[in-house]
Formats: sequence, structure tokens, C-alpha cells
Amino acid sequence: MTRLWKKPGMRPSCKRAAAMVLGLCSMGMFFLPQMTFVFRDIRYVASGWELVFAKGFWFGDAQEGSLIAVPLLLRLAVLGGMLCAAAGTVGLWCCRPSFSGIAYLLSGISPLVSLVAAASLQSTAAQLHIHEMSVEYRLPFMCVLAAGVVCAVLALWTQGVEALAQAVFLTASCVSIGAVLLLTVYLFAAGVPAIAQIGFFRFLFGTQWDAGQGKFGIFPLLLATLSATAGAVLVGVPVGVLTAVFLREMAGERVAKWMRPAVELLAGIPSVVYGFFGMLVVVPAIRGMFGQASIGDSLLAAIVILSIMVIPTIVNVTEQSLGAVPKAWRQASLGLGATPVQTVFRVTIPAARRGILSGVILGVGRAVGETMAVIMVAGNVAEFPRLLGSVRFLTTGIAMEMSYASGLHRQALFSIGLILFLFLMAVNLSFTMLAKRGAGHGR
Amino acid sequence: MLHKQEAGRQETVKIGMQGVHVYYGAYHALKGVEVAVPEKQVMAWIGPSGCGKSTCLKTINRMNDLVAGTRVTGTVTLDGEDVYDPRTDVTVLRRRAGMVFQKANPFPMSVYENVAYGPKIHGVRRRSQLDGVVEQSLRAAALWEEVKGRLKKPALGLSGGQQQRLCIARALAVQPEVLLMDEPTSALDPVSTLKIEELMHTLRKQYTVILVTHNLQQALRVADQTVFFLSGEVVESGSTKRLFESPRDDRTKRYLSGRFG
Amino acid sequence: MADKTLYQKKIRLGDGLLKGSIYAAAALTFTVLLGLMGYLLVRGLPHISWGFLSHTYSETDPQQNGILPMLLNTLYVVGITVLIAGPVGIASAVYLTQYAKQGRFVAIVRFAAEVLSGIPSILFGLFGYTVFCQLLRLGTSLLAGCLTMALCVLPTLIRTTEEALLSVPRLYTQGAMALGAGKLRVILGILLPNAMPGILTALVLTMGRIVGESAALLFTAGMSYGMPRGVFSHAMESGRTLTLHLYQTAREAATPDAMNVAFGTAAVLLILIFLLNRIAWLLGKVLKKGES
Repeated sequence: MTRLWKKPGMRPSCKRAAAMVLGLCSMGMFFLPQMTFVFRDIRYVASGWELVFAKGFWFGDAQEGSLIAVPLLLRLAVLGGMLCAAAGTVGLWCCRPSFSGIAYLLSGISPLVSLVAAASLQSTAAQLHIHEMSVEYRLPFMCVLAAGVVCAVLALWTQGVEALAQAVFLTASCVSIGAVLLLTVYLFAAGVPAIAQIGFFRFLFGTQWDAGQGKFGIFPLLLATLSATAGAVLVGVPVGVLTAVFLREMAGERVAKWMRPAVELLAGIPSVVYGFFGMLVVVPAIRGMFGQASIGDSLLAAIVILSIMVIPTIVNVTEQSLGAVPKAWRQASLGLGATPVQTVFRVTIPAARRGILSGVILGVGRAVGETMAVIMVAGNVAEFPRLLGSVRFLTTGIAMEMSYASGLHRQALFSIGLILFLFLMAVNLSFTMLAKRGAGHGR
Repeated sequence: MLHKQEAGRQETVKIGMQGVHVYYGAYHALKGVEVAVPEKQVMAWIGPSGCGKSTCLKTINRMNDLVAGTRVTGTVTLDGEDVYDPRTDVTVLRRRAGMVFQKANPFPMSVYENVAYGPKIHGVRRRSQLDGVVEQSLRAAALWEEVKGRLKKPALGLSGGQQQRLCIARALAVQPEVLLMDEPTSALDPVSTLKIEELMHTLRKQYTVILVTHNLQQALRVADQTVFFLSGEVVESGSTKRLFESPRDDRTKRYLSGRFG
Repeated sequence: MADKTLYQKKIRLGDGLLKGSIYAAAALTFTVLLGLMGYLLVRGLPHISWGFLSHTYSETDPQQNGILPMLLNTLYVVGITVLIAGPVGIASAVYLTQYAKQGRFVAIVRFAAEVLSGIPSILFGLFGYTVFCQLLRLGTSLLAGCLTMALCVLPTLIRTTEEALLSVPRLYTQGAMALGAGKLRVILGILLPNAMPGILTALVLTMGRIVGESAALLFTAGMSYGMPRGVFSHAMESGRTLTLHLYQTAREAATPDAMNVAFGTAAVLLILIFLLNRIAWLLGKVLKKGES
């Protein structure tokens, strides 16, 4: 007999048994050697048990050695992994498969946390001038990871395929939230210390960026980014919007059919290719035009290239939003004796302004965040921006120096990243608010 | 022309159509239409859907130009001047022959801006003059009392019937001579419909109105003249009373008695 | 305002000016953009030969000026990134459209995706460098680059896949549900197959984005131009993609010959992007046909 609902509770099944056995094994791994630490010639093999309860690793001889403490995060991760596996097994025993699924999954993730924590052990070792330290991971360590995931799947499977599938889909979407959270947290964690050390105002409004002399003022970089973006928007938005008007309202269907894919294609061209073009065509042109006044690599070149890069984006978005404006409004305007051009500028564009605005935001985002194209045409000197002078942007600052920076310099680069992030968020939010206010007038 | 003989009074022809054919690509939508619209009267165009009455209306102010692949032959005149003459300025034509659409289509702007749109387009800049035109047009459309307190509010916040009257006000604001109304009440409730019909009674004093409708009762209520269209041709035309009481053509008789359409 | 006659065309100066500026803007856009493509193709195409595509490269030996390793690296990055981001992206889109109640959780995920898609790729590079290369100890390797790229493309992939899933008529899925099929069976048997052209379009566009990306790979995937030593072990090696190769050769080029390598690479990139674009377009056409 089939029932419409199932009784809560579980029948004993081989999946459940397998999950519990595997969970117990995973707990057992706690007592087996998990990591090998190699300090020059000394090897420590540590089991999970030792990692949690040992004080640290003694390095050097008895008189003048030093203790490298095990980081707290590592202890917590290893212990937590074991406890989660235990909780999962108990949960299955008590017929709580969803709970144990989560617990097993957490125990599977714990080795990843240990991995991160072990890396920080390495940096403490580096402070004691032990540079030849390395960590090797043993088989049991890998087993915890694998067993956790397999157990989680088995535990959820006991409730049927549907529940398992839902859990898998849910996990996937959690990954995307997790990534944003991680990225945001990371940007703040990596960016704030240097700002705190340098001082917020000295960092943001300091007029000199010279890593060699320890001067970290990003004002010239900030100004360069702002002026390049403003320039690109001033040129790119009118040209882009008018081109979209041409495609949607003026061009015949046969012309538009060819031009539309061309614009779409251009939106996909790699930024390095734009930079290459700028380097070979725009820079020499500026050098030729202004002679002594400019070497060519300049803010102006960056503005030209950025304008070219934002146009396809703005054309695409504007064209779509123009197309979404109801035909009835156009007819009403024409019926009153307005010309097509008057209709476009007085009815169609105002009605599509929210869409156009979002295109502009996308353009601003692209211009502010662009790195590789401008690095190739801007000359990259960290000075106050002049239209014909060489400039360095926030993004290019990071890209130029990341490979060799260390210490405070390196942290300052992360701070630039944070400023960039905050700036883009602010732009996004203010435009969203603007669009919302503007919408009150319409429907 | 038939109606002239019947009516027996002297009338000037505002709009004349002689042998008008309209083709959408290969489709022959109008087949030699002959209509004379007398000045300062309401003329109703009736007929089953797809009979070409809306198409015919749009040939007058050349809104058909907007549909790709449309071809018009024959002559359409406004005050004796050919609408399709190459010298014709379409914007002047459309200002003189205003249009009200089937579905109310106010712009996404304020009530005031909607009415002031036309005058602004045609070069009225002075604020005081605009204010006057807006009030006058809204009064003429019997909407002033309802919206005078919220001229700055979005027009899309008005009710359906108010929106349609706003569209009429917007059309009146450019001081047209002819109003082309394309089933203006088909999307409205009975109360709003009645209001617009009352409005048409007053409009006839000043404007020449062509009303396309599929509502026979409406034609009977408001129209002086009625024309019956069927599959792209004019079957019969005449004063409303005569046409409804004693239709001469068998097809008109059958249509009026609800046999088809 | 009153005009007595129809037969007098009005002269509108403002109208003409605006019309002129529209045509001028369109002409400017298309001359610049077509000029850019034309210039790079005319200068680049002559250098593309079988030898160029099938030879190794060396910065020290001018005789070795092929781009085979870079092509392979690009292939690796595209392949691995799609393998990582594809399933995750499709699965989360399925969750968002089919399982999640349209409430706070969906709003949070949408917001997260939007935030993520607004972040410049250089910040992803920074993040990937410290997290994948250093903390997770992958080093400068293609795998680290791929993980970074996966984060980069995930938000757009989720959004476009969601759109593809939502465009499947509800009638199909509801019909199957009414017949008593489980949710998973409906998703695997009806929803995904029907949304497949849309999902594939999303994946192809993602591939285009990966091919064109450079800033996120600069620190993570590295710059080496050696040939792969093993099919699988290569994922753990550093390698430069075509975009980074173009960047490097264009900046370092001292001789016309070296510049020719850059031109050839730029042309190859343009052709790749063009092909991917065409494939997406064709898929879109299949999609439209299915709808009608």
C-alpha cells in the first residue's frame, strides 16, 4: 500500500550503515599522522591529536631554540573536523539525516581550513628566520576531506534522491554567496591594516606615491582614475547613446541587422587587444599631434581607448532599453505632429532613461576597473594627472607593483584594491538610488 | 455624394477620399474608398473588425507611413489640399488632424507635461501661454475639474477613462481642425464611455470628428453621419438616422441586424 | 501655430542638427570600431601560418616564435574554468529558479551575483593570488588561474542560465509534474534539455570572456611559455594565455619581427572571439526556432 505521506523516521539501510561506518573511520583519522612539518632537517610528524593538544614545535637546540606555536585556527579546524564527523554519526543514529549531512559536510570542509591555517604557520616561521619550512599532508588528512563529502552525500541520500538533489543545488548557490562574502571580507582584512598604519587621510589624500621612500599617498592615482573615467563617460555616453538611437530608430532593418552583431562582437574583444591598438595607433597619433608637449603615452590616450571600450556596452544596453519603450508613445507623439527626431529626444529617450542609466553604470564600472588596456597606453608614472602627461591609475598601480612588492608596500596595494571596491560599490548604489527616485515619475 | 442630397443643407467637405487603395505588402487592405467628411459634424465609421476602417483613418494623417511596406494610391484631401502631395509637410498635417488611439497612451510624464507636449513641440515657449492652453484643453476634454489639483502628478496614475480624456485634451492642445478617434472607448468601462460620448457632443461645435467604432449603439448615439465598411470597401453611407432606419444595401441590413461581424 | 496650407515644408534647424549628430555618432562608432578590427586583421593575418600556430616560443631565441604553448594554455584555462564554474553555475541557477522560495535567500544570492559581476578583474586577480596561490599553496599555476576565473565568470553564468531556465514554458514542467514525475526527474528530463540551447549560449559567451581575460590571470596563472610536460601535471604549472602573450610581446618587442608575433597573436584572438560569437549566435537562432 502506498501512502501520500511518509512517516518520519528511517528504515535501516545500507546507505545509512555505510555513512556511519565511514563517519567513524573519519573520526579515527584524528589519531593517525596527518601532517609532516619539515624545518630544515628536523621532521615532525603530527597526528590530529597532537596538532590540537601539543604546545608547538621546538626548533633549534635546547639552549637557544624557539617554540613555534600551533595556530589556534589550525587546532580548531582539526578538532572541529573530528567533532563534526562525530556529530554526523550521532545524528544518523538518532535519525536526523539533514543535520548529519550538514555536519559531515563541515567535517569535509575542515581540512581546507587547516590548509589555510597551516600556511599562516609558515609565515610565523618566516619571522623566526626559518625559511626552509614546508608542510606535507599525509593520507589520513586527505581521507577526512573525502570521507566528509561522501558521508554527507550518503546521509542525505537516505532521505531519497530528491532531497539529495535539492541539497546539492543549495550547496552550489551557497558557493556563490560564499565567494562574495569571502572576497569582501578578504578585501577589508587585507586592505584595512595598511590604511590604519599609514593613516586614512595620508593614504587617500597623500600626494606622493613612492614605494622606495615609503610614501603611500594614492591621491594622484585616484585623481587619474577619476579623470580618465569622467573623460571616457563624457565621450562614450553621448556617442554610444546616439549610435543606439541610430540603430533603433533611423537605420533600416537591413542595415541594423548587420551592425548589431558587429557592436556585440566589439563588446567581447579582449581589453589587451584594445590596449595593443592604442599603443600602435593612438599613442603615436598623440605624439605626432602634440610634438614636444607629449610622449604619447598619456591620460588622453587612456581616455580615447576607454571611450572606445565603453561604447559597445552603452550601445547594447541603450538599444535594448529603447526597444522596450512602448510603440504607443511614439505614435502619440508623431500623431501630434512631432518629427521623428523630436519624438526620440522628448519621449523615447526620457522613457528609456533607467535602462540608459544602467548602461552608463556598466560603462563606468568597466572604465574604473580596466587594467590591461590602460597599462599599455598611459605611461604609468605616478604623478598628478595632466591630459598629455603620463599617468598611473589605481588598477595599474596594483598590476605594476604586485609582482615585487612586500611588507607595507604590498599591504598598501591591497588597500588600493579596497578603495577601488568601495568606490565601485558607491557608484552602483548611488545610481540604483537615482534610478529608483526617477522611477517614481513614471509608472 | 449621397449624404448631401439627403441632408439637403449646404455643407463644406473637410476631408475627401477618392479612389483610395491601400496595400500592406501583397495584402490589399482598402479597395477604392470614396468618402466625404462634412465639416463640424461627427461621422461614425462602422463595420466588422478587419474591414479596413482603422486603416482608412490612418491614411488621413499618414500614420500608415510608419508601417513598412505600405502603399497608398488615390487622393485624400484636407480642405482641398492633397495629403499625399510631395510638398506636404506631414507634421503640419498631423497637427491639423489630431488622433486619439484605441488604448489610452499618455506619456510617462506629469498631467501638465502631457498636455503641454504638443504646443511645446510646435514652438510655444511662454509659460503663461502654456498654462492657458493646458487649462483650456483640459476643460474642453471635461477633465479640468478632476485633475486641476494634481497637474504635476504622473499621468499614468489616472484611471483608464481619465487617461483617455487626457489623450483627447493632449490632441486638442495643438488646436487641430479634425479629430480622428480610433475606437476610443473600446477599452473603457460604461461610465467612462458615457463621459466621452457626452464630450463628443460638445466637440462637434468646433471640430470635425471621425469616430471609428464597432459599437453600433455608440454610432447611433453620437454620430450625425455614418459610413459602413466591409472588407476594404464602403458599402453605404448617409445620415445616421437614415442608415440605421432604412439601410439600402442588403449587406448593411444584415450587419445592423447582427447577422455577421 | 496656425498653418493655412499643408504645402509648405517647415525648416527645422534644431531637428537637422540633432539628426546630423546622430548620423555622425553612428559613423564615428563604426569607423573607429571597424578600423580597429581592420587594422589588426590586415597587419596580423599575414603572420598566421601553420608554423606560427604549431611552434614553440622562446624569449631568448628569435627562431622560436610560435604560439602553440599559449594556445594550449588558453585551452586549458577555458576548459578547466568551464568544468568548475559550469556545474556550480547551472546548479545554483536551478536552485534559484526551481527550489528557492522567491524571498530573502534569492534576493541575497542575486545581490551577491550583482556585486560579484561589478568587481574589476584585477581585484579577482589580487584575491586569487593570495588565496589560491599562497594560502591554498597552488603556486602560480594554471589551476589557480582557473579557480580565479571561475569566480570571475560565475555571476554572469548564473544570471544567463537563470534566464534560459525561466524561458522554458511552465506548461512543460507543470505537465510533467501533474503526471507524477519527481522534481529531479522533471529538471533532468524536461527542464534542462529544453533550456539547453540557452545554457550552451551562456557557456559559449563565458568562454569568450575567459579567452579575453588578462588582469585576473596576470598574477595567478603566470607568464611561462614552456610546452606542457604532461597532460595533467600541466594544470599545476605556470603558463601564459594568448592575451598575456600579446601583452608581454607587445611591451617587450624590440624588433619588427617580435612585433609581428604580437600582431599575429592579436589576429588569432580576434578570430577566436569571432568564432565563439558566431557559435553563440547560431545557438541563439536554434533557440528562437524552438520557441516558434
